[in-house]
Amino acid sequence: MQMLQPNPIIVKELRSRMRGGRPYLILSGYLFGLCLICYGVIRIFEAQAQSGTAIISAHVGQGLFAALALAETLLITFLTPALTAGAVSSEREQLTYDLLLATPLRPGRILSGKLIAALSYVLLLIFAAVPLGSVILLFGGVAPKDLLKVLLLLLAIALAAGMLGLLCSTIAKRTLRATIMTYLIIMTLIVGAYLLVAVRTATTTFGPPSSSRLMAISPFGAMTSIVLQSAQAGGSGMVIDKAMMERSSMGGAMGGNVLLNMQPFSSLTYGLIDNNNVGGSVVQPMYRYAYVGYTLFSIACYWLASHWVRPRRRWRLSLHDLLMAGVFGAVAAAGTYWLQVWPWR
Amino acid sequence: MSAAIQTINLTKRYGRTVALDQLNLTVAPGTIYGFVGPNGAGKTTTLRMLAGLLEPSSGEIRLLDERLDREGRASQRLVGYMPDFFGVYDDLRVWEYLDFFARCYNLPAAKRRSTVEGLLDLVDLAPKRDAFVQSLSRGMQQRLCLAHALVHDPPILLLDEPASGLDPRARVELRELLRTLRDMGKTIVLSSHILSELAEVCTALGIMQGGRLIASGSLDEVMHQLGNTRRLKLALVRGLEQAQAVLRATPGVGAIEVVEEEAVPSSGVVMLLIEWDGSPEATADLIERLVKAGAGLAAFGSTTNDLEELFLQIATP
Repeated sequence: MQMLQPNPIIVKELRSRMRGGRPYLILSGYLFGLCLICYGVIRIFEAQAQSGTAIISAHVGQGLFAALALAETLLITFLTPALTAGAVSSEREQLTYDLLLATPLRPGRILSGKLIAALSYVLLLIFAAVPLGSVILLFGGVAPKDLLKVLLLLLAIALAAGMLGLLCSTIAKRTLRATIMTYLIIMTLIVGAYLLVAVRTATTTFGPPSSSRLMAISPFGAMTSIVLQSAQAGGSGMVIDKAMMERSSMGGAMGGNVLLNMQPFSSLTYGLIDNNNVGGSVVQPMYRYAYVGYTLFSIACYWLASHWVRPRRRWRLSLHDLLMAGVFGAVAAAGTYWLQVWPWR
Repeated sequence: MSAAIQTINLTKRYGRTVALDQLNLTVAPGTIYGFVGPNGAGKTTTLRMLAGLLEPSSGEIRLLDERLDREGRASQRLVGYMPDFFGVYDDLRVWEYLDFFARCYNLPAAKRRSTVEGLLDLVDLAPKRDAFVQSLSRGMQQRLCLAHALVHDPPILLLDEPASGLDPRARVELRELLRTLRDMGKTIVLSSHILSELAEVCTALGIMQGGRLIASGSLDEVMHQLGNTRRLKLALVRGLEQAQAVLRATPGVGAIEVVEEEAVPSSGVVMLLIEWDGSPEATADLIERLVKAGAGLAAFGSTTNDLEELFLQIATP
């Protein structure tokens, strides 16, 4: 009976979240920001063309693709936790948590309701930008499959960042503390990924690896790998500029993407290109590891949060833990199979 | 008839601190039971455990003969709880607020609407149906919170400090509402520092101090359990010395006090306040002997320490 009715938390959150002008202002601001970025990219290519550089339509498409994908990564990575970090802690602050816990509503339903309500708004942001992303296809240079990869990665990032915010919200009693905790962890993961790869490269004497799977920890690393792979793939309809590839300090793997050849964007490609490959430089598909890694991270966060959200008998194991362990194991096994064995990736 | 609420050796410890110590409480159905006690006496801890929000360290809770399990599921069904400091979702309308809790209690859609409308009528918030919760006065929010506790029609209501922060008019309204709920057959347990309110509304009282229930029962029973003696008030127009002599010689008379502030010098009336532990017959004998001794008795009355004094008595270390 309980499962047949919509989760009351979702109903309440959607009622209150979409009330007033603020959600529409955020959406408008988000889309306006992305439009500005697109305009900026087109202006850059115009300036390059005027200075004598050979620019073709596919270059513009790739540039727009890179700019939009990275801008959305930035926005989703930092906006999602803001929506979830106060989910449970604000109930405590508003003194409504006891009212909720006195009802038959299970803590797990409170948690899933909060997550779905927050993510539904993030999904609205992501899908509202899809028409803008489709403009890229008009310029060419990017396959629809690449757009789909970006969309999937954005969803994985939103899920992971949202779950992390929710976990911190269950642990911290105050929303401010939960928000700070969430952003600190995200920043540590992003910066940490680059630091780990740098340390690894510096400490390897012979044949230092130019790429590392650790870069998948950073959403920007994972997203850049999609952009680079799209640029590298000649079969995606793009004409590769051989001269540009040769000029590239990264060995040509990102040669097709004019935008990522520019400073400071070129630093985003750090740790993503394997130069030791016999057949030439190859972009490591970090996004694949990110899909699996972020999903596992989200499950682990949800698992922990489902314990932290309980007011009593917090760490008592139950059937729910068995189920969560099963889901985690199944996703880990399927992910490993997909990454290493299954031909369709 | 079985008890609505029964606790057996109910204990709650926070580390080494004992918040509630071996509470044995029985509340009959249809009672308005009031908890009195200073801060930290264990009132809120008791109510939170009865509401299933806190797990007892030891002991047992029975609600309408149903033992409270470790998850506190019986409470969720049988109890409506209003905490001392409660919040409201500011960004919801009044009907949406109640609708939300009705959904939390899994009320089917058809019943939800009628329940919400009925509760709005009961707590007199029907005219504010579409107003935002944040626009309500404190008293209205209090009534709304009480309505939320009634959404699943629970037989037991737990109200922690329901009158705190209310103006006198809102308190009167709340008192009327509690009486209406009692007439509907609800068992109500409440705690309050507004002691006069408890005396007017409650049919039974529990006095708590330091995590222990030191007295429980009707107001008279509680007074008796606390050794709180009755007092006699005498207005004398003459024969003060003779009256004092008779009183001193009478068994059952405690302290004798001449109340200066209530004396009326122009009329020559002197007020005497005496502690008295005699039966009604002994009281009649005392009056007769006072008159025979020549005491000019202008008025005679019986009084007890009020709750305010009682509270101060137990709250003073």
